[in-house]
Amino acid sequence: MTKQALPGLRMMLLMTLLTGLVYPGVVTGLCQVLFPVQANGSLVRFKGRVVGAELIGQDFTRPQYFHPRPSAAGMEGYDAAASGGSNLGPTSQVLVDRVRGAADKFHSENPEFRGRIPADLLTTSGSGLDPHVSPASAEAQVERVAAARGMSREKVAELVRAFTERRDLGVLGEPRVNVLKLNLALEENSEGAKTESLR
Amino acid sequence: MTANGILQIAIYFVVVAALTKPLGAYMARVFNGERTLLHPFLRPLERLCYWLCGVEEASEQRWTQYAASLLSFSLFSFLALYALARLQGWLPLNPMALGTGQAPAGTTPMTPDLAFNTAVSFTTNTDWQNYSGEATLSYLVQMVGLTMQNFASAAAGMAVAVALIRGFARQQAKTIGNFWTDIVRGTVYVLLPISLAAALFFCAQGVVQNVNPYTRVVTVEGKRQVIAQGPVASQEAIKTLGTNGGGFFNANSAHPYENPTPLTNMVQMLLIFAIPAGLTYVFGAMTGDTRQGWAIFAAMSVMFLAGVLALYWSEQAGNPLLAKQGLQSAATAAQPGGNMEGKETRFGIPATALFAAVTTGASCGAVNGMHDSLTPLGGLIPLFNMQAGEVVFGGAGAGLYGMLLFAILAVFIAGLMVGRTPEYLGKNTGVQRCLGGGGVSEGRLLERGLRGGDGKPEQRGSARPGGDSLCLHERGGEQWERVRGSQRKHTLVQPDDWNRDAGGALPDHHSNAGDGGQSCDEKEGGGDRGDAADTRAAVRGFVGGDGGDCRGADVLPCTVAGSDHGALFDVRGEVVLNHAASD
Repeated sequence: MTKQALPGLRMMLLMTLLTGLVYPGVVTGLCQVLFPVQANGSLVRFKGRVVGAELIGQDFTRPQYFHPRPSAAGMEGYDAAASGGSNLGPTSQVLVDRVRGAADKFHSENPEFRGRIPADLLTTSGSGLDPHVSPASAEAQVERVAAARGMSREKVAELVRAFTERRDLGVLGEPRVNVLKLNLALEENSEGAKTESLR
Repeated sequence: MTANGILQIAIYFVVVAALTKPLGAYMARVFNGERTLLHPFLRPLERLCYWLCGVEEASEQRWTQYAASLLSFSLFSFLALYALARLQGWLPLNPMALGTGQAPAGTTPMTPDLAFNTAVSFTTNTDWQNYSGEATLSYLVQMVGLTMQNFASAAAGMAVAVALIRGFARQQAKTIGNFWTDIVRGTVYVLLPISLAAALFFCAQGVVQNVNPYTRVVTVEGKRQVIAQGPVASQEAIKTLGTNGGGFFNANSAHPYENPTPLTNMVQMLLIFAIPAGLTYVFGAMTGDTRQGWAIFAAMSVMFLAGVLALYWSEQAGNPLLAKQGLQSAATAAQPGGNMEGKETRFGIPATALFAAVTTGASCGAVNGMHDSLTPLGGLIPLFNMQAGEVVFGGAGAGLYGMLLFAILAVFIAGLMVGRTPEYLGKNTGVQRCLGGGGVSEGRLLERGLRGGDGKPEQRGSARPGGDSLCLHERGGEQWERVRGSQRKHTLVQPDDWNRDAGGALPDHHSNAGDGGQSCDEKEGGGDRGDAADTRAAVRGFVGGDGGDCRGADVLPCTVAGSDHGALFDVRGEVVLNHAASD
């Protein structure tokens, strides 16, 4: 054992240098040069100020915006420095009560909506920072948003369709709508302001 | 379950199967020290590592030295990680001042117990997170501590698997390779290049890679949001490739900065299974029979596919308690349905179910959805995968040797059930070593015995239960004892007779083994015979295979015939790595 100890120490130090400093350093350098927007968080600028990140969900509660899924991140949801899910089990009474509350809230905000509420819109995501809702969840809010903005239903529905992302490569994952991008598109439509990525 | 969901699972599995051979063949070359495509670029780095660490590349270790090397490396790794975690407040690359008095509210300090837990967890490739990454660890600890451990523990796992394979594959060798060259090769040729490529791909898809302070924004509705940043892409790649699983953020691969698209999700799952699946091929390639590798692969695949389909079915069926609240449980074209609690919209049910089966099968620990919130039957599959020892492809290295232990156990029990010496890859299990030393001749005898005479083993088996050309192995316990006694007698009293019996000091011991086998065959051909003759033939067979009873020269007979001096079980049935080296 003692004969192996010194090489053990040296190998640990070497691996630390190689895989703990050189490797992440090289990746950081390459990414900052090749993909600066993504490497720095895909931040989104609107009307001259950074309003969030394309990939990180944020809360919307006003009627003129599309609302995201409920969030379990942090105390008030969508805390991007405290990601996490509810970790509630399927038979948890807390979960059932929370979902019932969310369903009631949704119906009161969207009185025109009929039928069953899409599965994603009443449940919290794994990260608590889900930037997307399903196309059906966006569709379910079109009436409310259109009314609150004084826009035609068709115009809003058209935007939702335009911002619906298909499955990756046509098969992977699920179709989805980025809530922040859709809401900023609505703002642009209303105010003519321009959304830009921080390039 | 939807057609698209099944298709996603099928695509994943097909790609894993397609990757197994090329990656396995590459890894086999790497661990055999043979030249690969990457040698022109990476060979200098490899040599530099040996030079810096004072490692003799060509030297080999006995298993005791190999184990001591592994332990000393892990011990220093553990101490370094513990120290880093405790001292992070005084170290650089800590823009959020974590672990100091100025740390933001809501963050947690690295207390001694938490640092101890984390150091043990990452050194052993367990990588559970008893902390929330973005609220506890500085960038320096994430990189120098955790990313490094992700490499080191994966390389160590692969090294142990390869050493075990060598134990199976080698004949008469006392050594099982060199731990230092194994981890350097595994890191330099396998882990680093793949991680580098994967990290760049992840970043292109949106995974962050910076050392900036957390971004403070005011949202569209005027709320404040602090967005955690960090060198994530580099850790994400090795987190999955090394089946480590400890995420950069608390939400792990559910976090959009760790796993932003369904495409990155697919690549992460592929990285998790790549090395464990490839190692099954390495096993086949290095033991000289690729079918043995594919047999392991097939066993893992059956368990995997059964698990993932059950998991997917249960999650897609949804939660009836929530359906009662007006929630849509059935999948439609525009929404995922099913149990979406704890799951991300971009992944939906199938990609989350698949990830859960993959990560628990591989002892990875990365998650892209919260397992606590799985349905009861859906949660059963991850539990099963974990409690099966995480051998459904399993961790980098750990999966293969875990599964091999099951294979040996199965062979052992099955052997006892049919009254035949349990044997795996020409090595008997649970037989005294002096007998087992001739694993080869025994293997050949078995073969000959089965093929010999009329060439129909089942007929022979039923016609003459308990006695045939195998002389020893297909015999009942009573005669077995007798044979063993006489063998012992030979061993102790007449070592010289052995060689004479087995063909004297013939340099080609291979033919010795053949001799032994042959005499058995002849005897068998001769029909009924006395036990004494039987026994003698058996002993000769063994002696022949025992490589001049292994006291002879380096040119050992068994080498040719595919045997080993060592068995995996010693006489008491205790598992050892390699008898040859433990002698």
